[in-house]
Amino acid sequence: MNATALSELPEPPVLEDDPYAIETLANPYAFQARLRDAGPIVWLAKHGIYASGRHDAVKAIASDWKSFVSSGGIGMQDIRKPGKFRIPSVITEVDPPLHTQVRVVLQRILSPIKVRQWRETFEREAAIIAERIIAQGTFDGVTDVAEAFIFKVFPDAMGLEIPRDKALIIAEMRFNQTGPANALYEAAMERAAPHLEWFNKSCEREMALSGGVAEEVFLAEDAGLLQPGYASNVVRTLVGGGTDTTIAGIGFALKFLSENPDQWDIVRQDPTRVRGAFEEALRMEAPSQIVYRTTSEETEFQGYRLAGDVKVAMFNGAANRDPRQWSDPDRYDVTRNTTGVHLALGHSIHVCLGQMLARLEAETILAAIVKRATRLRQTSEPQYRLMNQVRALRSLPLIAEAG
Amino acid sequence: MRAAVAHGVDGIIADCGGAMGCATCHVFVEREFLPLLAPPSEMEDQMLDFTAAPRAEGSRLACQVMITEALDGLRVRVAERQL
Repeated sequence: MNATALSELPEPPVLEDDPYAIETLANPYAFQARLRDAGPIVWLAKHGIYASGRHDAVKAIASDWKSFVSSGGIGMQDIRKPGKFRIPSVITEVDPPLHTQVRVVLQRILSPIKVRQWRETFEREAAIIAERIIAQGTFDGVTDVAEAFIFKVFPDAMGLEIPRDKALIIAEMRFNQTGPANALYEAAMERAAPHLEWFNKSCEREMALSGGVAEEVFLAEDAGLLQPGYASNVVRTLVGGGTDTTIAGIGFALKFLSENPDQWDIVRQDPTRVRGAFEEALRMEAPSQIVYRTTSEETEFQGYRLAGDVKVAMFNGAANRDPRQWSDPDRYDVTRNTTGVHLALGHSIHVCLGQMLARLEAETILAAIVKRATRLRQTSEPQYRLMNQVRALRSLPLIAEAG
Repeated sequence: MRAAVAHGVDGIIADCGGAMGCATCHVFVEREFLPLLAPPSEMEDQMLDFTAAPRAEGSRLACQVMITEALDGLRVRVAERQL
């Protein structure tokens, strides 16, 4: 499009909402609808950023990595700007061709063949946890299941020690850092401070145990496949991306299954449906709710003029409930064909690298429970763990009926 | 891949839903049609090393073959194993 035509285009509609207000993070659905209905892309005046919550628009932004770059960081702050600097991830916060170089190395290390080899181990660990909660009767779907399982199998697969208490606190720092410097962020930073020294060392070479993914990443660096210093950076991204989001996805799957007995029955009758149960949970409560790009230059997007060098928020959670894409989007339906269509795992070149690992984890733990429980029921209200970027549960009190 | 799954074509598993993440939609494109397709990207090329059935001439991930008018009549053989 030539410059004159571009300048004649309207600017995106303005929205005054603050998506990061505590009450909005706690209950985002009304905001999500306003965001979608305002247009394919809007100007969020409160934060001086563009934002999109429609399925086709978010997908288009994620696909056009030339116009919407990742090198400005996947959070709200442009990490290239003075005073905003933090060390970028060399996999999620870079653009091609550098991104491709790193991605192919990691894709090889986390190949589908490798992931399938973990199945037996995951099934064994899942059985232990499922037996335990059935014996207990009442349990917490987040702490006793999702966290207990992921903090067992994921560190083992990575070949790293990832203590649950520290990791959860550091994650809250990281998943609040990608939003504005609000009260949530301040509190998370304060809680994380005593653990920063551990965090800085946690993904270094000497921490990598023999036979794990982390060690393979360091070996790739030794072989010259990754630039010096990249391995530790990448391992840190894998750990950050592989814990809380998967825990959130499993937690929400258990929440929806306990709230929808008809869907539970479908899965009980055909346990292969646990995959659908997980994908549908990801669709309805995208663990990673908001991911950013930056406009590389002034550009046209779906009939609007966008300024260059401005942050663009992709509201994956909003896109995943877009009625323009799904019929009855607020209904949990394990038979819905959403894999590869919902945007919880991103789309295009930055699509979640660990998605097959996450699916295997979710599938094995959910299958172990479905096999042993005849029904799950909530004994009190689930509690949310509010973070600027990530939507997750803090607790999900459940009772399992068996027999 | 989507067309195959929608029509229940046996042997196209597509665990990842078309994200080049699982290598379970492996097909062999017959030689005469190869010139009609854009070559695999670097990512697809790499994922083709992880297919269950050995990679051969014409190996592609079906999720990366977008059906267009030009591909009318395209013939592919589904890999005998995907897992």
